Amino acid sequence: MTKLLEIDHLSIEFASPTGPIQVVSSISLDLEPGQTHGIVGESGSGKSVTSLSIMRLLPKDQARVVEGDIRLQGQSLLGMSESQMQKVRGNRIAFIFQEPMTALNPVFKIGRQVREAIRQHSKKSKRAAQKEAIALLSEVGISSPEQIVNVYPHQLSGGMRQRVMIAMAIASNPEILIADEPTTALDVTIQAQILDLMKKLQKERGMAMILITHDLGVVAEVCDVVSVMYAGQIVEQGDVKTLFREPKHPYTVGLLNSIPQFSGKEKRLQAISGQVPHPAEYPAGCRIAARCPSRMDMCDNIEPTLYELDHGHRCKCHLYRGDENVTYS
Amino acid sequence: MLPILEVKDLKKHYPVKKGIFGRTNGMAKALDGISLTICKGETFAIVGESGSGKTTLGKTVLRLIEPTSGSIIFDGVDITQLGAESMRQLKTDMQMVYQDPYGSLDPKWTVGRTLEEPLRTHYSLSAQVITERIHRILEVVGLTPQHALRYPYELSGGQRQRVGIARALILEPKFIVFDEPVSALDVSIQAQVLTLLEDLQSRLSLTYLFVSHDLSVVRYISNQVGVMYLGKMMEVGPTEALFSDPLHPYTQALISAIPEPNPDKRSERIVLSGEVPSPRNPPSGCVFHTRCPKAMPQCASIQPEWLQISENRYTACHLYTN
Repeated sequence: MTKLLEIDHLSIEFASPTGPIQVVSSISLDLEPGQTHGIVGESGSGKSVTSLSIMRLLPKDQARVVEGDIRLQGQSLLGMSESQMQKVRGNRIAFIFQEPMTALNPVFKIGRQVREAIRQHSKKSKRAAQKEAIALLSEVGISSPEQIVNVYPHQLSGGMRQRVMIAMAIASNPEILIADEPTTALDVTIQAQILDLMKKLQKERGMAMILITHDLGVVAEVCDVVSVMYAGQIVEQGDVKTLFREPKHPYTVGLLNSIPQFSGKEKRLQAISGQVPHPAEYPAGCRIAARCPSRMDMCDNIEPTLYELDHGHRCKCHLYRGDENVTYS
Repeated sequence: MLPILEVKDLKKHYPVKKGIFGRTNGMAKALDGISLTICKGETFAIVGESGSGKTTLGKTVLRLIEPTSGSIIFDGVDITQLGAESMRQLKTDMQMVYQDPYGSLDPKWTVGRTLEEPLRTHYSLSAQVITERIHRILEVVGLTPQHALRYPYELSGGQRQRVGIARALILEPKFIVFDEPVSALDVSIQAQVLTLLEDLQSRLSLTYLFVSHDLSVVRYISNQVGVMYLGKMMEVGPTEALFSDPLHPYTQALISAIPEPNPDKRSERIVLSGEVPSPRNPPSGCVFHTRCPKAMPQCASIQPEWLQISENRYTACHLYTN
């Protein structure tokens, strides 16, 4: 199958007073057209940095790609000039953020902001853009779009703002939509509405999606493929059904055991002990070793590779040494 | 089991001011006739979306917010009638843990000072006793005596929340209100704090009022659940019964909206249309009728009564009238 987006052994460093700190280490993922790829992890796992790097939105003076490449249909995004990149952003890859209030401009009416998103990428008259803005707002489920274009962001609820953000993101008919925690700030009933809307739009428009979240429930609900990140690395990657049914990595197992299961008999939660290490203090071996219930002696010193199990299911853990079909990285 | 807290017909109405002279123009009903009973040693959870009044309820029960009317009976005493001094003494029995472990600790105080403050406010103890109690409580919540010397910025989110819990526990209360205690934490840390709360409850025979929007957490931690919507109680019942057989259409929708970590069960969700209306201008009749998939003609005009459905299950819905 054709790869729409390819992240190839990407490593990113941030400058710090004590020298560069690597926050993302050699991660790889492929996105096919129409596919939804979930990136799940706790705070500090590097999931947002990864998504921002695809759009080249990381601060240039602080962040540096030290290794690897990001390719959109075979073309390197990292090698593009700023003006070429500007054409990719919004046009071919769109982005929605967690907090729609900070992403919208508080002093402009909704209509103007959506129009701007439309006219950024097409030469439409103000009137035509206004008409399209209303059509887009209606497509994202806003019931009276003619009135909504005349209000300011603060007059809308969180769910409505997120709908406006989605309307702006799909204005240019992008091939890829990157959504960074799009429903985290919303109530559950509104979250259900927004997830449904995103699934519907994706199906209708054939967009591929990268969904960044900390919520395994959301991943199970909408994603086809999942990457589990921990401390800047992908520790497990695979098809959503396989990964949830047979999680291989002790960290993934731990994560699944730490959420109270909604159905089925309750058992005591199994917390993962300890906490995520600071990026400056990543250990030499496996980065989870200190918190891992299956830790072996080699884990402290030798970093495991991402072993390929079957059907694209990969796991970065010494437990699977020798089980793999082919070594992946 | 003995009730430790009984809330009867509790109301908190805020005047809505309008115009430059601040003329009162109607009332926002943050709490509108809430009744509940919490038994000793139990965890009673309040769930609801933003604007349901769940946090207001948690704070009003401790009189951190003064109720407009209604009674709050704690250990046989109606605390709404107590004067300032008796109320201050009562604070050793009733404590609160807040959601945001960043905002609820003073950044300029060491952990030791934060924990010392309630002891100094309520008792006159020698410095040595205070230090001993601080060290003991830090160990109880899974920290070490060394943490007493740290400042909040030196701690992780999970450790800060442990300090918040230690501050509530140091006066040895009987009853603690938790306002979204784990929603700011990562899942692995969330599980650590939840299991800590369970252990503390059984070790110290504590009673909890647990306010949360997260139904999975509520199902895990609580014995009883109350579901709130726009300042009103929609349904109350024992946790397992309420989750396996929800009575009120709102509870049903809320439960079906939760994304489960199981891709084989991409459920047919009941997706509610619309959003929570403003509490300043709540709908007539049943406050939920504007979003209810089972709304009937009378729902728009007649407010449903609080009905007892079976031994300990209650709901307010016209589906169960008659």
